Amino acid sequence: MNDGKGRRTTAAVLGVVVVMLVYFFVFAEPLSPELSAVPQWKISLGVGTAAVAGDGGSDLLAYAAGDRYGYFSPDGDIAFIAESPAPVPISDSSYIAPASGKTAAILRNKSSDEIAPFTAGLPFYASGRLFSAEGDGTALSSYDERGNKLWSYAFSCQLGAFSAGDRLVVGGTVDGLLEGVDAEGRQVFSFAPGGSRLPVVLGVGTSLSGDWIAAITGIDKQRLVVLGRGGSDYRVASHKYLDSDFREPVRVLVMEDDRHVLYRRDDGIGVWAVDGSIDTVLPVRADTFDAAMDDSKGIAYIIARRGRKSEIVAIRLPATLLGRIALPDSSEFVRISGSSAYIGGRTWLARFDFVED
Amino acid sequence: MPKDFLRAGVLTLAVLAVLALSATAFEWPADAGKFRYGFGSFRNGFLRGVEFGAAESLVRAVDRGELTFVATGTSLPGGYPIHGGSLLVVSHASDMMSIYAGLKRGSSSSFLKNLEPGDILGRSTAIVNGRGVSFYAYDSKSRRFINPLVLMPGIPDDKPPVIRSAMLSLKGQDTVIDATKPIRQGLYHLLLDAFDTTPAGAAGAPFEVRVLLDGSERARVVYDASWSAGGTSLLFGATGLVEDEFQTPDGRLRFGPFNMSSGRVVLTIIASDFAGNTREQTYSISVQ
Repeated sequence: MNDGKGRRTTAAVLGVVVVMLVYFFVFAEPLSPELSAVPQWKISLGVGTAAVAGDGGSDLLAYAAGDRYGYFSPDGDIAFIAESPAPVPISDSSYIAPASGKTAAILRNKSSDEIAPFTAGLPFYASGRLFSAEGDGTALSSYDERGNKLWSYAFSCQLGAFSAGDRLVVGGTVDGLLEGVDAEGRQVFSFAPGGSRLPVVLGVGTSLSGDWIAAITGIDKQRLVVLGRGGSDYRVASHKYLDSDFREPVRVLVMEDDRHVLYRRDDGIGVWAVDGSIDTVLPVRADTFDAAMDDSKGIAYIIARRGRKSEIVAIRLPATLLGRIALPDSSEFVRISGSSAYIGGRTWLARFDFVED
Repeated sequence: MPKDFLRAGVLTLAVLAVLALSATAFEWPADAGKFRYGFGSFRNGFLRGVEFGAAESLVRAVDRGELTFVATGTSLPGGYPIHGGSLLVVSHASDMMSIYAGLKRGSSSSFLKNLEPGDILGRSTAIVNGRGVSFYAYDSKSRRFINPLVLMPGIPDDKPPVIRSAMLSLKGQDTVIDATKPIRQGLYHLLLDAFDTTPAGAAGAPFEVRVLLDGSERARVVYDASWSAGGTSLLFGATGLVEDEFQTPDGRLRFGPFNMSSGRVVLTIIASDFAGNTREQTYSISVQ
């Protein structure tokens, strides 16, 4: 009796050992290397202009925090910092210097050379392209790098969501319509996702390529809808109903890999594959977020903001958390470029690099 | 041509049906209706709603409904600026939506979902960049902005619109209409500067403008609705004029073209406001 019980215990222990060996040798996965954030520099910012060494400022990056804006180099040299009571639209190539007195707003390049007067009411940059909001939030105008108007487009009513890629702009209206506009200002699709008691588009993201569009739409129930380009048209590639009841703008991003969609949820950041094959949640609570890919390492960095708190979260897609760094409360400016993070506030700017040990 | 008339008629009927269904359903959201600019006023483009000017007053729901969207701040996540710094949307019965923009930052009642008429949505603020709180009535079934005046309680008004100037334009050359100076034959556009004084005393848009040549109506616009189709902004339910072609960059109204052949032509312009006050102006033009 005791002998039989002992044999069964031994067999069970051996069984567990075998399962563990099989697990480790057959289903082995390389462990993620340690990811460290290595400080590179930190500088204080004052209003003024300074000479930038190197290649004439071609690699200058745009900076904006609070009432200050300007350009800096990846090495921490400042091209200029200026102040404005109103937010200044700025990109890595140009900015709109605000009107002062009788002087109209001026489109300037990053060397502060005047390109052209710019009279549009509400200019902004998205995906490096210059636009202006028109028609009380119902329309959009696009401009070239010289400030010439290329086209205007009127949406059905006020936009509740907006996203721009290199060749496609998508607007989501508060009456639940998604409209896509190509680089020439032509409508490429108009689609009402429907499927909810009340129609509204709360968030939209488009891939840089313009091949994929993801949107959070509707109330009761809310939906995540992914559209994919099929020939000259866009069709629903995947969708799911959500438990959320957002009635405010919701962040949705299509990652640069043209495969993963990140979207805001109550319980974290949702990760969804455009074909619906991945449906998981990152335990990162955020009111809003941005993301950037470091293709050389295959790592995605998420800049998550919740109230005044912000953090950078490193992940390997779809949802392997590699690490997270809480940022100072005064970090109004956060930007990721490759494996470098630039963070700053109104009076300071710093860089640290993510390195694998 | 009969087909166009039929389509225009159907559109007008559709708009009127919507208006009739919704009429008297809404209460004024602010300032007891003393709006600064009305539907169609030139506000760097065609105003699709009404704009209020009073600072620090309450902004209320115009009817029972459900709050579906609240955005505050400088921009939407994709960078598109939020007009006036805040945007609230309420869905009502009969597919109507009311849209409110430019409320004071931090005053928006985002915690409310179900609203009763008169519920406080937020506060207005001092005019920012020349703009006050804006209100829009939107029919989500036909996807059209409706002139709020036809949905709201009436406001006493005994002042007729004003026709400030009228010009004839031929190939980009504008000529002030002068009975003593003849013009040559050709296809002319009429450029009209007409306004109606709003309850707050500003220069707003009239409700209807008619253009007659020798007693025959050649153009008529009714400021009832605006919408977009294929990215183009269109105005007036019965006519569907392209906004950029109708409204000049300086806010004048463009009618025509009209063929002016030799002889004497009598041009009559009739502008009316929503209360029915009418202003008529007649020009006798010699065409050579």
